[in-house]
Amino acid sequence: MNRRLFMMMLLAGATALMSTTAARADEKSDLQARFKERFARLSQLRGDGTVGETWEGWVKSLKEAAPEIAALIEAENTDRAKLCAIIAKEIGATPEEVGRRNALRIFRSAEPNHYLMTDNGKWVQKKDLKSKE
Amino acid sequence: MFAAGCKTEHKVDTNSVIEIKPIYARIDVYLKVDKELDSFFDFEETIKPHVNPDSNKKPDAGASTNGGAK
Repeated sequence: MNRRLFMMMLLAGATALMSTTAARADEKSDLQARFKERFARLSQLRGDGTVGETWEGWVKSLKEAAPEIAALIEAENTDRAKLCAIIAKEIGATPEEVGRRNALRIFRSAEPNHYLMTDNGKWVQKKDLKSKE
Repeated sequence: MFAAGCKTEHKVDTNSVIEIKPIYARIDVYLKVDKELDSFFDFEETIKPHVNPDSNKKPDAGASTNGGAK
């Protein structure tokens, strides 16, 4: 009887784990679709110096943003925060750590004219950034 | 007596312990995070738009360092 109860609990636990993993995968897939959708417009805004990237992993406007751009920034940062939280939970890091690693990834792939905000809070174009690496 | 009064004594404790384990643990976590992020954003490589090398336009003079969301 006890064995049967144990097996049932094990099965319930495995089912719960599988459904959580599946839900997380679905959420990541939805997030990825939204990032993809915004990517071209965001690249364009980075290219013309309207928005830049911070060392903490957020996208920010360098000047007064039009409502369309402000909404895009808000949506992008909201999804980045969600992604950071998911990855942090999966791997055992903090969302802030994931955000900073994402910022490094973005800094590396940035074009020379893209604006980046370093930890001193100042905007600098990548071509003028002195790498610590 | 005079010589003894001028004598100074300093003791430096050299029994310090350097803990390396957590650093390795963090590096391991960062590697996993990087791998996960690279895999998640791999679409960026395939749909990267053409970049105009002359587009080194500076933002407006009134550019704020704290503008925008978050």
